[in-house]
Amino acid sequence: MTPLPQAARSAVDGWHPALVFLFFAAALLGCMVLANPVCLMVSFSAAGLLYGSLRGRGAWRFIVGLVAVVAVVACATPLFTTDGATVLFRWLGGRPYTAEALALGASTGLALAAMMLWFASYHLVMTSEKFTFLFGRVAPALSLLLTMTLRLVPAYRRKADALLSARACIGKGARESDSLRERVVAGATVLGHLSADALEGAVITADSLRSRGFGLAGRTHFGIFRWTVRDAVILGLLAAVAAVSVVLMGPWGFGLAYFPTVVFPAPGASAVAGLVCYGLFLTAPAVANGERRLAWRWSLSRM
Amino acid sequence: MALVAFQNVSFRYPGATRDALSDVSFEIPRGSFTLVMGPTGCGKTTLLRSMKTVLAPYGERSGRVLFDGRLLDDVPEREQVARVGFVMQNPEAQLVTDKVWHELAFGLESLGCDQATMRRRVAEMASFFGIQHWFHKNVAELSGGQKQLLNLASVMVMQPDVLVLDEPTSQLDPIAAAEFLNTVRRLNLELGVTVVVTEHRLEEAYGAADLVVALENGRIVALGEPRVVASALWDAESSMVGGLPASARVYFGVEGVEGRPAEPKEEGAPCSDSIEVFHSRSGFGVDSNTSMNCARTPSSLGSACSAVAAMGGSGMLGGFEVPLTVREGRQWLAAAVEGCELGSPAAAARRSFSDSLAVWVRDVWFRYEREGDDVLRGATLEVPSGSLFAVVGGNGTGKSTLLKALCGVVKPYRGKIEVLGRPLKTWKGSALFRGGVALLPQDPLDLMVKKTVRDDLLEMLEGRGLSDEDARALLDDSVAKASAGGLLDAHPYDLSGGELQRAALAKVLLCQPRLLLLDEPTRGLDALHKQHLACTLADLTAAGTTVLMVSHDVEFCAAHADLAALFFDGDVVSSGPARPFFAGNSFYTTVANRMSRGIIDGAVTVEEVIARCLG
Amino acid sequence: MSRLASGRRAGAWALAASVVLSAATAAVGAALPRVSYYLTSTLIVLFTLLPFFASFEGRRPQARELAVLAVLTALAVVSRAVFAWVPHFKPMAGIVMIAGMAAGPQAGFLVGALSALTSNFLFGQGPWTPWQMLAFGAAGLMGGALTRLRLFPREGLSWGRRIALAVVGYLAVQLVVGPILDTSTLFYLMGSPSLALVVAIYAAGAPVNAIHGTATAATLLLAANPLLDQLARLRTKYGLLE
Repeated sequence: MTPLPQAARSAVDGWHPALVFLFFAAALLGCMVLANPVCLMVSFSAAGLLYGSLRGRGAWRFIVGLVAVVAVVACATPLFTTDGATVLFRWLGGRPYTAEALALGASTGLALAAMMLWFASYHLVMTSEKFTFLFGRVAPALSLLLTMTLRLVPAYRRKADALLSARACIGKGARESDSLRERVVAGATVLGHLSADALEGAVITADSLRSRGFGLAGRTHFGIFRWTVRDAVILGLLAAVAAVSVVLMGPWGFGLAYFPTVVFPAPGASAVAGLVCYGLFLTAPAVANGERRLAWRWSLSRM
Repeated sequence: MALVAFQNVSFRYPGATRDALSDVSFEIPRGSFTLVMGPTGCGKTTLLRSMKTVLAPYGERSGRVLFDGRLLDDVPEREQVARVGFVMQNPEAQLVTDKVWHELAFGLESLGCDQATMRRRVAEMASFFGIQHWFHKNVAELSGGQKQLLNLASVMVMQPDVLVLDEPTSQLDPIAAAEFLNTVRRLNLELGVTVVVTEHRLEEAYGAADLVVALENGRIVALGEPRVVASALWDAESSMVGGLPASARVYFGVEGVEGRPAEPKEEGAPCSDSIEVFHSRSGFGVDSNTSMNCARTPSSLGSACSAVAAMGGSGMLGGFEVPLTVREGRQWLAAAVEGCELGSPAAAARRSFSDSLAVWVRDVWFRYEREGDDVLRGATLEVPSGSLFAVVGGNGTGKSTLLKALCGVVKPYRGKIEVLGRPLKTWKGSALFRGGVALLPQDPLDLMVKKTVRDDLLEMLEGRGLSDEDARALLDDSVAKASAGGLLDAHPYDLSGGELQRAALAKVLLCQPRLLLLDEPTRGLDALHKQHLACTLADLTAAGTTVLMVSHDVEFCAAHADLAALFFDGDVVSSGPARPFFAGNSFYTTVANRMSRGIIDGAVTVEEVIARCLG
Repeated sequence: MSRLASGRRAGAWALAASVVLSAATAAVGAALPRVSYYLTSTLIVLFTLLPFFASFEGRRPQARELAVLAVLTALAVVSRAVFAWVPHFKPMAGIVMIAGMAAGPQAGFLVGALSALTSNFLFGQGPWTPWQMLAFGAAGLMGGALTRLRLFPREGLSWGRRIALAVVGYLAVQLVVGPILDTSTLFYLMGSPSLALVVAIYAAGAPVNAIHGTATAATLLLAANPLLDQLARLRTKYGLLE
């Protein structure tokens, strides 16, 4: 199967940055507030679906890695938390290793893993241009500063490469045989040169900013992103689903008491309904992506 | 009415001993294309920056600059931002944002335009410049030429009345430079934008101008229509003649020969005494007084301006207008040589080389990234010892990569390389760079890492176990060869392009290379410094060093190289002795050759064409 | 001066808001046992960043300041690449401190916080982002304090001063920057309060921070003078960062 172009993989790319940001903020908040393990499982699965829909087969490695993180955090937590009535075994001269702490660790690890997974998708969707667009109005100077920095980073990388290679071509390159001290000094030499070059450039950039009117009163902000009716509809639906889900789940979603024994309240009908709504909310972008992908395949078959 | 008028403008930088601009008066008519020319340090940039208040340098100023009938300093900043567009030299540092679309909109954001206006203007300009294909890209992904076009477009979205361009193509390769200038011409012709440009690549720009201002030492030495100024410069025996289009130089060389000294030998001149004079007189800190030929006295230029202005100038010699383009040159040349006895081609003083090879490259393949495309694709090359070998070819064809491969910095995954008679792999550690190979990079500043040139040179001598005496001798020798004598105490960032290159060359020569590699050595150099470089290289090859350079500068390669090769798609597609090589190309050849092809065959340089014409 | 004043005013308001919000968050976090520690602590971190950002926005920075700060931030982000040959060498904190020394505490904080943010734009944002912004912001703030309190000059450091600076840099990372980063680890691993975990996390962090601190010290020792001199040159030549 040929790899799909980005446009075919991600419908979320077409969402307005504000919508994207709100969604991820809500998803992350969910990981932290709705600490019921079932909620966390739902969140982790939905995050995995979204990440998979964005990355394709490459997603598996990361998701498996996160499962390992959950396991490690779960197993490690009882080493530090000795509360809990059910002692599985004792170690280090009688220190208890309890099942309750293990459960707590699993849920902590799950929350962490889900957050990392949401962040990974956020990284792919919320590109720097969307971020700076979003904060351009609230914090114009900071967002411009960020934009300028983001331009310079790749330029300096390339310059650093050019400097390193220029030095290598007169026999001043780093070698395996160099001592640690020599390597650090060589790095500092290149850094000093890079900064000299960069600061000379800053003077020109400042001139260019002024020449193009930076600092005049009444600056506006151009965005290639437009808030569309579709964005409004999606926002409305998502907000409604989220609100319904929180109301229905109520305190059930907030988590458990782990000590001295785990109390897992059975979900009532409304909690189950709330959980379903939560799942619908979190899988919305993945579903949108999947629909886009199918539509793309379908369009290919028609060509 | 003139759009911009300079009235007796003088300017002096704080602490300077002489004026950067001195009593400059001229008018820039609305819709005109004005070219400001002059040697490095003549005040071009100062003049241009005086046309926008926020960019005007700080210092002592007198006289008036009028914009649209008003004193420039009285024109509000907002109006100046929109109406005076300014593009500077450095394509990279002028950019502000990380995205092409944002860069385009930046000026309009400053002016406080609403979304609808911004969308329309950005879309219009992106279409005009053909930017729509890279509209969503990061600026980091663009080539130098694209970056400069983007800078131009980001200024044009504000719909300026006048576009001021300060050496906009000096850091671009010739093809990107030509594209840039063509775009500027289109803006002038199709949108009626007034253009003021400084350039030292005059071949394209000169013919496009309506008005030429020739500056020297901050003074206007000639002013007027291009043909008039060309004649005036010729009459005044200015060193700037060397920068005129080849067709004009051939014309003057042929038509203006009677009763005048011969045209200064700009290209291909032997390393005569005049160059030595240049050494001693210029020292460091380019003195724009220096003219290449010591016989010419700059003081005679001062009066030329008034002389030209007074007589209005005819721009004609021998009843034919001065040709400024290849097309005009061909028309004139065909008429001029009709029925004349042409001189025979000079027997090329072909140097012969020993059989030993300094570089032997066989079927070398390389790519930078695992998933990337091959940059070198079966590259094969032989460079005889002691030759000056030029490799020409477009951007991104792998020329620079080939040089890095010869330094062992880039490691081919297939193929063989021998350097100075030994397989590259058998050179261990730093031995290759001690009496072996050294590369002068495209940007000589990349080599200068210390606070003074002297410190930079001393860095090369560290850890080589040389006695103080040997080290000093080596240092003196390299400095002398690169004629970097006066530069040792300067800060590398304070040097001009030509000086910087001499300093960097001195540093490279401390490797005592028997094979010297040069990457685009003429980029950003004016005619004077190019000539100087040619002499240095000739001395080096005469002393037995092999020089391999990759370059876009066909004129330079044709005039000075012994052997040449065309690189394309990761491999050499043709090579041979330089003269026949360039005479046989139809695009990668000199302007003089393009101008004389079919009329006088086999001539490559301006001097050859003149000599053949004169029999 | 009105710019500066309006910057101060915005900063003061934001500071007040930040204190109130942080206190409220802490109170709510303490009162509601099931609210995650990570959420509470991260909100407080974000509120701490706020006054710095607000006062920068408030004084409407000029073109030259923006250009220089962008350059310093980008240098801090890229600096790791030029030391690619040295394993585990992280020079960012050192560069940020130097930036602070030249540009002042507030600008230093900004350079640090934005370096962390930018670097995460390249390598991936995560629950650690706000904490890294705080940690490296603190490094810049400390750098700025060194020159603001006239403990160090803004250029031309003598050998003795450079060694002193390197020691300060080491301590700053070992005692402040590193522990802030460790605290974030603590909070997203802590399901319930546990002294053993606290001890374990900071103990595990100490050697890592020692390596980080050593790299910072080396960076300051070697890069402080060249970079400060270059910035001084800019100050005298173009009046930047006065």
